[in-house]
Amino acid sequence: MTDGEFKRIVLPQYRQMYATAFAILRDSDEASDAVQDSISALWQKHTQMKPPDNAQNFCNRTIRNHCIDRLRKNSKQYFERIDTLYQFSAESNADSEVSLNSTSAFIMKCLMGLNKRHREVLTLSIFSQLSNDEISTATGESPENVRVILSRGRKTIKEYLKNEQKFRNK
Amino acid sequence: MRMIKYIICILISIVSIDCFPQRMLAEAASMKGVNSIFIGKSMLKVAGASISIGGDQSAINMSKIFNDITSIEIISCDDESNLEKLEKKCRSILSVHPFEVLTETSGDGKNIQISGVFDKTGQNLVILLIAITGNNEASFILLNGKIDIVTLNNALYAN
Amino acid sequence: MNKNSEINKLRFLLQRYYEAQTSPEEESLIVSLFAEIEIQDIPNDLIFDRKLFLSMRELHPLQTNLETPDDLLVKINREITEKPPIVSEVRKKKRKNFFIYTGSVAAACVLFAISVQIINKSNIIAPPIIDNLTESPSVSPEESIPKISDPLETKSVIRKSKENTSLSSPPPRINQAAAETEVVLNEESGYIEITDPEEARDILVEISKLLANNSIKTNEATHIVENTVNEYREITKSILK
Repeated sequence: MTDGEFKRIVLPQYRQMYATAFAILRDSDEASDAVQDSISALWQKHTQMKPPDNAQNFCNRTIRNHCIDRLRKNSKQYFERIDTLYQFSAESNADSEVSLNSTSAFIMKCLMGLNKRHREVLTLSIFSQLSNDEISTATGESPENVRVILSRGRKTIKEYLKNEQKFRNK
Repeated sequence: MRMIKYIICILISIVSIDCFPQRMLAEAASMKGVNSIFIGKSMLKVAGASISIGGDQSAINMSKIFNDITSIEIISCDDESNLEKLEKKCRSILSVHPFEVLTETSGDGKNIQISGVFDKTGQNLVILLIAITGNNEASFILLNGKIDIVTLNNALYAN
Repeated sequence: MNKNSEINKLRFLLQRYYEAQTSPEEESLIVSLFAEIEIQDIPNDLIFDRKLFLSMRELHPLQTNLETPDDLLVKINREITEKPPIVSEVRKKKRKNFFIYTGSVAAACVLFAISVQIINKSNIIAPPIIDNLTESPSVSPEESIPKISDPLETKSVIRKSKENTSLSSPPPRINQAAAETEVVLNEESGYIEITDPEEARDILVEISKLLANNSIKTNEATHIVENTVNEYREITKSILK
């Protein structure tokens, strides 16, 4: 790929890449850094690459992999960020940056009640909408473990929600 | 792919290394009670060149032959208890090669057998074995090289 | 019917969701189906699922309305201009690797060719193997002579030849060399390596004598056989006359 081709094909995808990065990392600065690093890495190797057939899919896949790598290497900050952002929101509705309805707040409370391992897996599924394989890569759990944790977690949350509704109705 | 390339290179090197000549009777030489001598090519050249000094006529005639010899191995044993083992060992080592008995003579309780291994053309001896057995002694003299039969005949029957 | 098919599809996807077998795209489809279908058309057993999914949508913002930071493109352009692509290093490395591989393969082929040459030069034909090193000594020339010849004459020849060229014992210097002379001991193979040219010369002389003696005896034996054959012919002629 020539320099001109790179600037014409890959560079315009930066907005979509930012949106994908933000959806996963849930932080503006982190998402910006991820996009910069990702495009910089592509630029370094662009002379050895052919121009992609579908630039959007190619860039999307690249930024997703980059974000999962970031999560794998430094997941602590990400989970702290999610916990801080949504715990605060779950506790106080009025002044929080992120306002949640009662069900969302309840889901947050359910997640807080889980053990660390289960919470991490479910957080990545709910907040970053990663696939089972991507969660496996980010957390280091086997794909089968991830599937089991997600299955149990989702069923548990649904049960809690049913019980909470029953309690309210009473 | 890279691993396969490395393995192929190593295998070819091993094959080529194996092709360099080794001492045939090395196993017998390391046996107990056995005396063994090895003379290499460079020493043969030096000794062969000086054979006219103090050597007798037969040796002088043979000096041409010694230029064609690459090594001489001599194994001998006069220990009765190890004689049989040595003979068996040498037999097993040498049975790999197609030796042909050239001459065999006996007398005074000793037997001298001269055998040789010919090359493809049949004109050259690549191994010449002189086996002396009897009288509770055994000696095996192995000459390696490329000895022309005609030259050998001329040297031996020159007198 | 359309709504029923949508509900059936929803049930199928939900079953997969709770078994954690759905992809993010399928989960998005569940959310969109719940959003499209009117709440009165949702069966009672799926009400909680609808609530759950629509709430979880809140926790994951839509990407379409997201604002990209203004300075992101500036930062990206700066990165690109500051870090030129690593072309030459990669090419150099590839070239180096290529030379290493080619060189090693070429060296291996040369070694192989040399070894094949060595094998060809030392190639041996396979005549019948006669291996009787430990068998008892073969018949002496005396016993092999046919009875028809004059035994007295031939015996005297043999006796003479025995006197003249008695079988020498194994080269006397061999055992002596090992015992007395200072030589290099090759510990690995048990051989004593001769480094003294004089020593080597003496050994060569002994070997030459051995070979010469043997050849003389062979020659004499041949002569005896020839003489015997000639005598046989003459006797046969005289008888026929």
